[in-house]
Amino acid sequence: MNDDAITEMAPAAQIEASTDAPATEQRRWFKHAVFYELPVRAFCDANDDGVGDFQGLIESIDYLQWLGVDCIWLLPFNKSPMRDGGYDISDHYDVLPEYGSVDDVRRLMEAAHARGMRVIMDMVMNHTSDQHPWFQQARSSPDNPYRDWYVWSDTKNRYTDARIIFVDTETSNWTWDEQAGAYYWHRFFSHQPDLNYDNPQVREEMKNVCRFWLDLGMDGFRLDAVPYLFERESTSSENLPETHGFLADLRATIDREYGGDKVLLAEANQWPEDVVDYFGTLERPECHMCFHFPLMPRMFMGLRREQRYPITEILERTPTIPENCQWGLFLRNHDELTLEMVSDEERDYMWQEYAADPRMKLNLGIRRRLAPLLNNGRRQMELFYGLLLSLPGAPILYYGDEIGMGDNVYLGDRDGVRTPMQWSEDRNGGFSRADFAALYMPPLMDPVYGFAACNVAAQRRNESSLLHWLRRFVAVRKRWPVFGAGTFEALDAANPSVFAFLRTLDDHVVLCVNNLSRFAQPVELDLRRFFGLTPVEMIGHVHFPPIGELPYLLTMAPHGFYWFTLERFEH
Amino acid sequence: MPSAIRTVDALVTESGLDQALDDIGAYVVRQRWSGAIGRVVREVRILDALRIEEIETPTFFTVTRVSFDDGLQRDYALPLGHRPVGDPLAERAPDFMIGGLAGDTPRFLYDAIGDPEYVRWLWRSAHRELRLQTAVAALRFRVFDAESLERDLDPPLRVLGVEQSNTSMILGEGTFLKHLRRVEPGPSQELDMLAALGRAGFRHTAPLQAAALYEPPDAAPTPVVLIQPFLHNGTEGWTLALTSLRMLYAESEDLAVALGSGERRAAVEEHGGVFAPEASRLGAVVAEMHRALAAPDLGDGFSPEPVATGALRSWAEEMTCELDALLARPDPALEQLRPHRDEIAARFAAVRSLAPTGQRIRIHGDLHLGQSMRTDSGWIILDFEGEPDRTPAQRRRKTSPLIDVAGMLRSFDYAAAVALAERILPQSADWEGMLAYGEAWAQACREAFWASYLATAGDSDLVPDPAAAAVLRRAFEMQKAVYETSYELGHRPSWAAIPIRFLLRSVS
Repeated sequence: MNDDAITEMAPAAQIEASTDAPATEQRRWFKHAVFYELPVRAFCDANDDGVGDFQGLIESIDYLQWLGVDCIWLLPFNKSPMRDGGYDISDHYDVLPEYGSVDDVRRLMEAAHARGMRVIMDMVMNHTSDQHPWFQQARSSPDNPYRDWYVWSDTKNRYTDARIIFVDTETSNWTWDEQAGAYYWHRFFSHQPDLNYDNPQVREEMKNVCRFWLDLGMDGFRLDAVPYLFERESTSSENLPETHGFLADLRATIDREYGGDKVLLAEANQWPEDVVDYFGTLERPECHMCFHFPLMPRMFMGLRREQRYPITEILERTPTIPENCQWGLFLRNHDELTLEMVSDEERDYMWQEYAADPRMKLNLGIRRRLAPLLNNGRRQMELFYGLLLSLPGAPILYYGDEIGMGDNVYLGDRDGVRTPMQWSEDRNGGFSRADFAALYMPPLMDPVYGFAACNVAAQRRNESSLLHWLRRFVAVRKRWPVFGAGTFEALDAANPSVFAFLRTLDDHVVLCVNNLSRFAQPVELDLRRFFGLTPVEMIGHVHFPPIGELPYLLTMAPHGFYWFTLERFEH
Repeated sequence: MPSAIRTVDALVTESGLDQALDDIGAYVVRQRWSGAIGRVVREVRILDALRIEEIETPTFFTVTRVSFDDGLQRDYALPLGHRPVGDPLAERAPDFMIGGLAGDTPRFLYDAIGDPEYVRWLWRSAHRELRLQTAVAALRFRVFDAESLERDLDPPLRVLGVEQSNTSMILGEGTFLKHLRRVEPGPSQELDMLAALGRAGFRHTAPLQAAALYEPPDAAPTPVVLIQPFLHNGTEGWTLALTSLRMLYAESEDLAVALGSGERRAAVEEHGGVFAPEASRLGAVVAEMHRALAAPDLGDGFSPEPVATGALRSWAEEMTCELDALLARPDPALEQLRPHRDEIAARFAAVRSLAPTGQRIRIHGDLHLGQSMRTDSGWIILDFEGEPDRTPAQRRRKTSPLIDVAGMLRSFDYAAAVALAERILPQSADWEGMLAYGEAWAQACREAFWASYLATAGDSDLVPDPAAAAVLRRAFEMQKAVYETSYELGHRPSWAAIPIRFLLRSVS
């Protein structure tokens, strides 16, 4: 099928994106958007210094538009000593010089907006680098005006009910600072002191940081580590009411000052029951979007066990969210396969499968890209992308996964999945014209995932590549508002390897049927409530037999899946 | 109501059903729910009947007695209807056709469970809690939980399946209606158990919402219809286990060399469909069920009793008797078992000398993977009718909860063999080598189930101390395998190898 074919559609039941005020729908762009997460450093190097930069990103933005990306999520690019991938910010108002300047960011915004695309950035609210001038001031003397911008203590015996998140590197949430003569509080690395949100100056300053970037045209923020803003004795110091209070205040401020179409995406690595609180309520909203963390490891587990329960179970436990909100779904992101959310037994199980190599077992997770996690299985990757694009939520693609890039587990920490984007089979994979030795990190060169075998240029030339396949499915998803805004209902199926569900928006119904098994599988679905409708396969517009009174029989290829729009034809 | 004053015979003759008794008998012995497949019918008699006035076409609720030439007789709840030939129902429900009725206009007779009108009548009657006079008794509808009962009085419905003793269907989106077929004297095991589990707050089952009870004049009411919430997105444990085994066998085919038992076990633990975690969760649910059934305040017939020496002795005797009865059969398949009679009997005798600990309680009685269902809210235990071949009194007696455990453990073994039989013939050269993987799979499941059962039963008095529990559990498993051997020799001789193999392994 060629690329043009996807632009024509038999829109019998296709509905307009909006029935009410277009302005409302305009503000809900994020519900229908496809996101693309990238580190500037790894994407494209325009000035030949071996490090990706904003100019390189601007020059490659047409590629993202071609792919169908609506919104780019930029990983941290602020000034930073780079001891934690840029999540250790030393100046919120500036850009890491290797990446470019604030003015380059402004030009990126213009380039994106000119193409109808948007850009959001990582905003690290909870902590700063210990190199940040605020912290340098704060530690210098108890009387310094910045002292109270951080959380200090004479003893380590405060907030002892808060867990330690980075258990592999940290032994306490308190670290002694010689210069300050006191312990400072940090939920993450010891070089990342937590800001003191009890201090109104801190709260106002972080709002000012947001204002600065929004004034530049930024379309929103991915809010890093939001559950940890406040600390209270005898609590886990996570998800506190004070934290929600601040987020509601931040949202109200941004809505009021910037017209209401900016988006806040919360990183709250918690159970869905707790995560929903970060959406707030219709009256007192907090974030527009939250990541759905537990879904992703369960998709891997469902594939592994060839049955749907790991997936349906977590969706069943996912509360409904306000209609102006959206889940953020991802197959992989820059961090690890998040296992915090699964039980010990399931975590052991995941480790057994994916991380026999102890190098991959860092913290509670595994740093691997999608393709190696799926043994480079094309059908499995298609199935996973099919699920990502059809389950309720907005899909977030991770750079390079669209061509099935691999990882380098020998690079340590999280760098293994942050190797240079593979643009072509040219030198350095087309990422940079710098000397190989000058690259911030070597590109992959192995025979399976290396840039000679796996790159954008080759896949753009080959219409049966994963890249073209994904682009087609992204286009289909975006054409049908039901995927972004429809309700979700799992269907009964006697065959546990088949995961079938309905997405419904007003009177438009889409049926998705997925085979999690490596074997061909039959399934009979009770579709009688759609008696007389014709399932039309959404890629090829193939008309399947109309639905009758008997169970609807489908034969599923190994790891196969179908999307059907249920249409009424007059005969 | 006119039907109340008619005699059964008058009603039967008037409605023409008397012409069709032979057809009814032939229909019944074709049905799995009759428990009499292949038997020879001697006589069919309609004991009681009710003409259902609300349904336009002639439809009757009957209790029909079928006597067989081997002396067995059984009473069935059998709704009947007849319609003129040409009525579309004949085509829509072919499985429920019984025969023809002569007359001015020829008519066909059918099992009314295949008629949506009849099912909806049951549903409406349940909502109205009707009590209807039949010719000699009454049919009474009761609601147990009005809150949760779906309100739609005219729901779409779908026949779900025909089980060993019942026919079940789904009404609307959320209701499961089970029409029982056997009418047995005495209080109902299933009704009792569901009510008790409800009182004890056990959540891993489908609670009873409503029922239709047949009330004979001189015996306890017996349920003919049970209404429960339908469990969405459920899969029978048996199906789920076979899904896991299919992956294992596919992978073991790829392993070129025969592995040692340790490596086999590792292969089982590392294969994608590993089932031990599910078995572990299932073990916990079964233990919770037993804890609920051992609650002190469940009322009549439920209070737990300590296991006494007498109970241990009678269990041991029963086990040995059943073993000897089996071995008394001349079947050549038993030859390999006979030399081991004394070793097996010794395992049974060991039960007698156990110190009496643990409790006797009411149990499920027929627990296996097919009675469990995996749903999004975990494992659910179903079907509390007890073992179909036991008398109602036997099903109600208090006994060791480890009998349920043994049933489930045996089920893992069966699954391993059945899943392999889907792939290759038992005569195949690969059978032994492949089954070794399946048995390692079953062993992993059994261990996981047992460990979590014990952990959950934990500090209750339910289970004997661990050493005694292991001896007792093993003996109950072997007793079950003796029963299975006997059953298989009578029904599916080629399957007898499965329990025999287990018995031999147990004493090797």
